Amino acid sequence: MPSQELHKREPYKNRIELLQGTLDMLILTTLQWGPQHGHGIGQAIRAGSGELLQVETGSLYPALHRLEKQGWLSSEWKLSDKNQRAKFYRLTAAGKKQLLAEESKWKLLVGAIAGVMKPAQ
Amino acid sequence: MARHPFKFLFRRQQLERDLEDEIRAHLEIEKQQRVERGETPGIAEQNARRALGNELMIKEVTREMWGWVNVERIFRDLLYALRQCRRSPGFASVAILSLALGIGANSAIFSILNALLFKSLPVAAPNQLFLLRQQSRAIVPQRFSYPMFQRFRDSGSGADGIAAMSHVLRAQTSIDAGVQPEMAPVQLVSGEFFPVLGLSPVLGRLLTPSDNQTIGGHPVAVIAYDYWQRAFAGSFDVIGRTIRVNGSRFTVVGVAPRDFRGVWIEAPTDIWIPLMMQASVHYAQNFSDHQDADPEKPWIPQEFIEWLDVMVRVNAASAPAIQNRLNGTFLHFMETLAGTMDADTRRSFLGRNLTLEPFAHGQSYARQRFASPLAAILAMVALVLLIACANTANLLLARAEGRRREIAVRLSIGASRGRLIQQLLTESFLLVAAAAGLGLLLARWASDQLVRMAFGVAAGSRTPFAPSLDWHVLFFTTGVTVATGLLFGLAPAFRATNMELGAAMKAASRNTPGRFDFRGAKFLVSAQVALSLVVVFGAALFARSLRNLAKVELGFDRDHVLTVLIDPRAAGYDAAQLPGLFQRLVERTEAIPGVRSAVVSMCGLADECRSIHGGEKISGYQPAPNEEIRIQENYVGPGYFSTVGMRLLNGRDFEPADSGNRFAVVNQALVRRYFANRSPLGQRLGDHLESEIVGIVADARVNTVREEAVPMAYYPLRGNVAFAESLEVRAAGDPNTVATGVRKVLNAAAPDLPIDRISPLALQVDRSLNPERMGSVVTGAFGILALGLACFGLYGVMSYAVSRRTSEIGVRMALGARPGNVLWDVLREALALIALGLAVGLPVVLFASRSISALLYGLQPNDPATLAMTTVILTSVAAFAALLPAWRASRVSPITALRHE
Repeated sequence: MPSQELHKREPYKNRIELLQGTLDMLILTTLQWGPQHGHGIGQAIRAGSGELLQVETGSLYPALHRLEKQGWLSSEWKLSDKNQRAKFYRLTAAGKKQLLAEESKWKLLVGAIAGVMKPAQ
Repeated sequence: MARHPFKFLFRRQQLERDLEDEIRAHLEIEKQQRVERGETPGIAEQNARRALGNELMIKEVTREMWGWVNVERIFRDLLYALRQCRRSPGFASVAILSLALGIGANSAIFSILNALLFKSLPVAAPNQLFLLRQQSRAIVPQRFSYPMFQRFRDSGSGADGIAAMSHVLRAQTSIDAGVQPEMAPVQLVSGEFFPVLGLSPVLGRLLTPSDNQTIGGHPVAVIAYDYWQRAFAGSFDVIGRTIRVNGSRFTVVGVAPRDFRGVWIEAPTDIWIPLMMQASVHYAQNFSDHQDADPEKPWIPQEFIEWLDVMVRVNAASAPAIQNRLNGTFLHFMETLAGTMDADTRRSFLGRNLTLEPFAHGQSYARQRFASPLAAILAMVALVLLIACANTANLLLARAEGRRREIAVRLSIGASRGRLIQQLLTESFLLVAAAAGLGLLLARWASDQLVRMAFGVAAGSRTPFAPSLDWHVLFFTTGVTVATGLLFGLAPAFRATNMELGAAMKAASRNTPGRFDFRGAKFLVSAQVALSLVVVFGAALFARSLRNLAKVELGFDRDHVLTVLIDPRAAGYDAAQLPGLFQRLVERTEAIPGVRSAVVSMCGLADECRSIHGGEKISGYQPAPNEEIRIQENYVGPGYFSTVGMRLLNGRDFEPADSGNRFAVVNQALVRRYFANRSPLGQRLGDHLESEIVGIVADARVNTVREEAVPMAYYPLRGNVAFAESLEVRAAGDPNTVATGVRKVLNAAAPDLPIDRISPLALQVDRSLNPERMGSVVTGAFGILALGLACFGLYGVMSYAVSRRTSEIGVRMALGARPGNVLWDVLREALALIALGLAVGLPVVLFASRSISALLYGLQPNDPATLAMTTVILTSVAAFAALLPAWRASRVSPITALRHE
């Protein structure tokens, strides 16, 4: 039976096309309050969005590795507050700069879209 | 990363471990949170996993972020493919070997074509080089006199350079007195030759215009790099050393660049000397003369001896303008020369025009002669490669069948289809890359062998030209390789990964093979049969054509004549000494026991020596307007016709007393052409009707085996031509038996006379068929290979079909089918495949073979007998290949077959 289910599954999408830039920004934002591990980042985003944004693990880890490769994040293995070994990511200086850039871009975008959506005013 | 090309492999392992840990940590955290929320550890773990999703997939997409993934993936695929090949060495070696033969053959033929057609001369901007050619309605010599060249050079045509050169002379050369002289290719060139080519020397200096000023006054030579290495062992004090060329001493002034072997493709030149030295080295070949020209005097000042090729360097844009200007110069000069000619001669003399012919690839007779046979052979070996591809594709299909379960498992745990196809293709490319490597080795060897075969050069001696594996060839081979890999790899890879997973898993778990795509396999087998029909038929046509050529009635006696090629000119004899020398040679030779007669003639038989005279008159024959009477001529000693075995039909042979132009013997072709219904005996011919026809000989193919006799006249050697090069000796029996005696006698009679060749006439004729023989051997070999591959394919598919149907056959046998019925059933299926292949192949054959009709002799490209023979051979060999599986099927025991289920 499992094989038949698998057979019908959708092809896996490793990129959320629309949200790609946004996910990066969300990760960077989350990390500006301090280092965090992957699981924590996912949870923080979910909590911060009032459970609206579900970050797939299959998108989260590729994004983390991509951001690290771009030099916006660095990582190290540390013990968590619950004494579990985990890989913690932190913002680098370049990452902070990138976050500022993304934030202002985001504000522009939001403003622009808001303008379009309320043409009456 | 770039600094350490393999560092990524180590870094990879670390990253891999890291990712593993990271995912595990993620799961742990999730699990712990769930436990804190009250789930039992077991449930929490399960749920954590479910929340995570497909772990393998997450890792896979995360890895892609690392970069290097593709390189690393290919590397892994390669390792995997290597393991697969090692697991089935039989499959791998059959595939690699058949592909290597295909690729090697293609590369070998292409490398020869490349050397002849595509390779540029290793000189500066070869595309700016052109050769002056004369266009005319009549056949005109493609050469120029030295005074004509001077006019071109000094006319201010705007060309960037104009140089003249002779043909390549095989001259007797030695670097020290007393050393056995060797025959080396020498070219005479004007001082502009090297500057126009834009070459610079490796050592010393090259020839310049100041080396070509006064007749006989420049005994200097430039030698080829190769000759420097060979004759002087690459010694640096070669400058200033002396070499003797046909008896004259030359001082070496420089060494040409390493890769420059002259401008004649099939005659790599060893030595270049100034044109002014023409008379000093007795250069006297490939010339035409008019009027009062005297070939015995130095040629440089003579306007009526045409002997030079003229090479021009222009840039493409100004080429048309320069061509016009040079043509003006040419016609003007010809006009002044034609002043004293009579109207007819004048018309044919002046009816010429100059054109510039691209010269980037150099000169070559072989190009004309071999290009189209080689192209035909290339097409055939390409078909062989296709057959090998079909074969490999079939093997891959069958193998993919055995790997269904593996592939199904990999698909179900999340491998993408594209990824699997990529991996299967990697295996194909590994096979084809190995085949290409092997094929290139094969090509190196084979191209050399083919050139040797085509030019009749024994192993150990130098070939006339070397088809090297340059980047053209490597590019070609790479292209062929990639195409091959895709061709046989793509379809099986797509097919193997296209499956209903559920069914495949179920079928695989029962360990019985699923549905094998017999349609594809059978289609491939029929295609192989069709392709091999084309190749085998082509080979059969070439073979029969060669046989026809070998059986041609030549018109002379090839079995009892020994031909000797001597070179009195190179030995420095002057014209006055020659009649005495010839008489001595003939008398001594005739005294050898076993020798019937001997005779000296200007041109030997099947010797590429031909002299054609135009503008003669024939009594009683009125030429049509614009018709020029053209007669091939030869000058021969007394008793020539009986010595070479030409049949005298009427009149008489030459006698010792005959000399000069008083008498001529003509051949049948001349009689047919110019004496329809008239008796030629006693009639006259010649420029001024000075010769009386005293004999008529049967037609003989004196030029080549293929070429039918043209109108021809023979005149006595004595009193006409001083320099003759051919001595024909008629033996009572096998001419080989007198060869040693003849050599000994000639050496004793004239110790300094170089003997270029002593060989039986039959061998000489045989040699002239070398290109045809090469074609026949190559196509024959590949015909056999094609047939073998097709049979192998058929055998494989039928065997597989039988093994798959063992139980079905068992049931039929149990129900009373007789072994004969079963055997016939399988055989019938094979015959159907063969028939389908033939049905497709036949129209292709009939269409394709028309393109080689010009290469065939004595049969039509659609020769029904050959076609029938080919079809019968192919069908019976292929049916034979199917017989074994059929026989095996008929021996199936019902009990075993049912147990098998």
